[in-house]
Amino acid sequence: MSWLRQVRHVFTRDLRRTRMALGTYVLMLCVAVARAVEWPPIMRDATVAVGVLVVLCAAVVVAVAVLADQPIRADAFWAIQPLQASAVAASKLVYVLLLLLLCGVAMLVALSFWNLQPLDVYTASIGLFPTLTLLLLGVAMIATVCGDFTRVGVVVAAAIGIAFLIDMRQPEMTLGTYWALALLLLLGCTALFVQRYRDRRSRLIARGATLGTGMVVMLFPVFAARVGPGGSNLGSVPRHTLDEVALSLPAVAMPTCENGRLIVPLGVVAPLGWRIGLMKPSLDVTLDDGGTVSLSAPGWMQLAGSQGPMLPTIRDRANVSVIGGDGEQREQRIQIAFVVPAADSARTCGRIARLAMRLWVTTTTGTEVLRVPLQGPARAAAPGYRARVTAATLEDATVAITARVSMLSNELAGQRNDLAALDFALLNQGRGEMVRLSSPRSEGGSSASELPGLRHMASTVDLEPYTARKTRLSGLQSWRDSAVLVVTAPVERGRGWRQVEAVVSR
Amino acid sequence: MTDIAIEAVSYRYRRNAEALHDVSFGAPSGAILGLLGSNGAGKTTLLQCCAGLRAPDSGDVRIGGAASADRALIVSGVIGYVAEGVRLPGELTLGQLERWLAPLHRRWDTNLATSLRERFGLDASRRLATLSRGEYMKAALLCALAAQPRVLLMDEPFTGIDAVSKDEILRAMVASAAGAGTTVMIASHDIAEIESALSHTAILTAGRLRVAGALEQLRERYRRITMVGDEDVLAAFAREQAWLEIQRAGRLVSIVADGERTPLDHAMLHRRFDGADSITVEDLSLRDLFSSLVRSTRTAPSRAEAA
Repeated sequence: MSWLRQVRHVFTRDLRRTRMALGTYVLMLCVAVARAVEWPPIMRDATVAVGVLVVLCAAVVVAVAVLADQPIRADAFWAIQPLQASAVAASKLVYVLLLLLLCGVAMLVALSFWNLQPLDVYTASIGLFPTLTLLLLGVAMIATVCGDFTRVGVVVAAAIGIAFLIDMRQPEMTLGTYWALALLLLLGCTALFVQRYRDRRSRLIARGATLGTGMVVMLFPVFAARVGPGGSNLGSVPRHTLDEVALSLPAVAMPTCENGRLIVPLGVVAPLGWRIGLMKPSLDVTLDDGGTVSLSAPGWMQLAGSQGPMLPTIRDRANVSVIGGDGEQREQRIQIAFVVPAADSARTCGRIARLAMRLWVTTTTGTEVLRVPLQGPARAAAPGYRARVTAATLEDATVAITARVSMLSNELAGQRNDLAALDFALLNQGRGEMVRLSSPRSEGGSSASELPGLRHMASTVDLEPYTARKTRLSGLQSWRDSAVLVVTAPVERGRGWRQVEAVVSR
Repeated sequence: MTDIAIEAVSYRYRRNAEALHDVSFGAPSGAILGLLGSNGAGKTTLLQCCAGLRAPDSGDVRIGGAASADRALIVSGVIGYVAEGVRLPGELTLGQLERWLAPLHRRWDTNLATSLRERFGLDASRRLATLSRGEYMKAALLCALAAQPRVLLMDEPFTGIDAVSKDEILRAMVASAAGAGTTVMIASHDIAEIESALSHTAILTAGRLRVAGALEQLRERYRRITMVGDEDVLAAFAREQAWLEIQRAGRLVSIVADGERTPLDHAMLHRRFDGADSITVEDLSLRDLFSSLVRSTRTAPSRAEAA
């Protein structure tokens, strides 16, 4: 019998052998898809973490398949049959591939409900295949050296536990690093797995190495889920976008020093509609006598442009005027409080000659993700988002407009489509006008993992104009007839360290 | 032609437990060789080395002239292997297992499988997981025999099988081996039951080969000599004769003697020990020979003292 036929022969028997576990896995996938497409509606409300169950089920199926033809058991049935070891190993890998394909199909079905686009498939593949493949291969590796199902379970649980216990201080993983690491682990793990079947000797070192590799490989998906690549890392971030943000230390006078804190004002000028994040500020203070003191500030802060990050996005496309004023690009000043150690307080306060501040800057702009007519029980869907307007009122009153919108979003491979970060506006293209809406209240927020790499979030938000914009709408009938709710989501544009310096005058 | 050739095979487990030491013997084509030894003698290790499931630390195993390494001869279908505790795929029925195995083995004989199944009283529609221990082993043997390998290695195949079934299996094995020209090496503790089927034997004690060869030749070589006489005659007999085992009771002494080292001829013994009241020379059963060899190994340090 040829090698390929041997692979098929073992594979078909594995299918028969694991049909119950495999059936459960397929059932879990169906439940996950049903939850993702909200059918039946009760599925959405169930709090079971289907995504976790899917992964658990897949791991059990793989363990059962490998334990059935374990490489190192002296009494293994396959070992006394005319079967090549590599063919048996390959059949197990094909089995893992089958589980991945089934999950992939489920993912495609779920994504098609979310207006599938090529980028979504790519994003989904980032979240699904490297992590789930490595997770399953890790289980397979562990199963090659563990005598029974219980031991496999204990080691797998230990691996996951270790992954969660290890503190990741550097939450940065570029897409390139992610793929390179995943590919390296994938190839290494596959080669080792096949080698376990080819060399059946149960030497202590070989067993330890296999067990260790299996556990390390299993750590990767857990790390990947925690450290990225997040949505912000999916594309290359152009460095020059940071240059459009101007930072300055506008205080030429001595900064105030009170209660052990040095308050330093920072000026920020950014393009209209950008949102600026400032993190990890540190301050190097040069004193009159030439001495230096290094200070740090706790926390982080975020600055929004006067119009928020959405208006330019919409206006570029719709050429509308914003009711209540467009706002203006102006310098914003924030006060950053640095902690001055008690020992340095006396020699620092009032004796500063020069300041040098260093910050981690992120910039965010908006992108339009969804438009939904305001009339009736309207629905709309966009990649990653779905919305349903459940109630809308347009009143010729002080508060001109209110709306209640049920929002759903999904999250692929850590690309978080955070409902709380969305911006809303009401657009009347006929009149060339737009009014920004705030979302002061939300309820029914929930989040659940549907499939590996796919999360599902739901929330209902109440919308109303910003307080400053509660101006009476003119042409109310026109708004009633043609107003469209526009939803924008933040997209990160740039990130990096920036440093600003200033000489203090007296 | 020699089908099984074992040359100076040694194997050591972890923690320095030596399982085999310089073991050499062979078996011709068509032979049914009984590999005998007490628990821990190294039978299973030797069979696994023959099957290529273990690689000897030193020495060489050749099956049909080809080196048996890394399961190569199992993969090519030359070797069939069935062992006590083999884990058959329990979710399959016997019929399903036969159908699954048939395309794997070039010489699989469906008719033989069917006839063996009927002979063993096995139900093709029963799942293997539901079979009793004896039925389970019968199913494993059926699969091994129906594959018609050139060399069949069997490790304790009769464990848990009743006496009637053992006879059936032995008859089937002998018939199958004769029909297909299969050489069989069988490790078993059921020496009395398998003796009638064996043509050759090899006896291991503590990882070392004690004797090996055709059963008829071994029967010629090893005999039991019983002498009745006075103390001085018996003492001379025990001192001068080379023996594997000696038992004394009053005026009677019985030894198991090795014909290569001491005369076994009745008339000659009478001439040498003419003071003896009676001398009898008897054939040994394989079981007695095995027991004598094992006991002689265990009591080796005290032999001189006993003499």
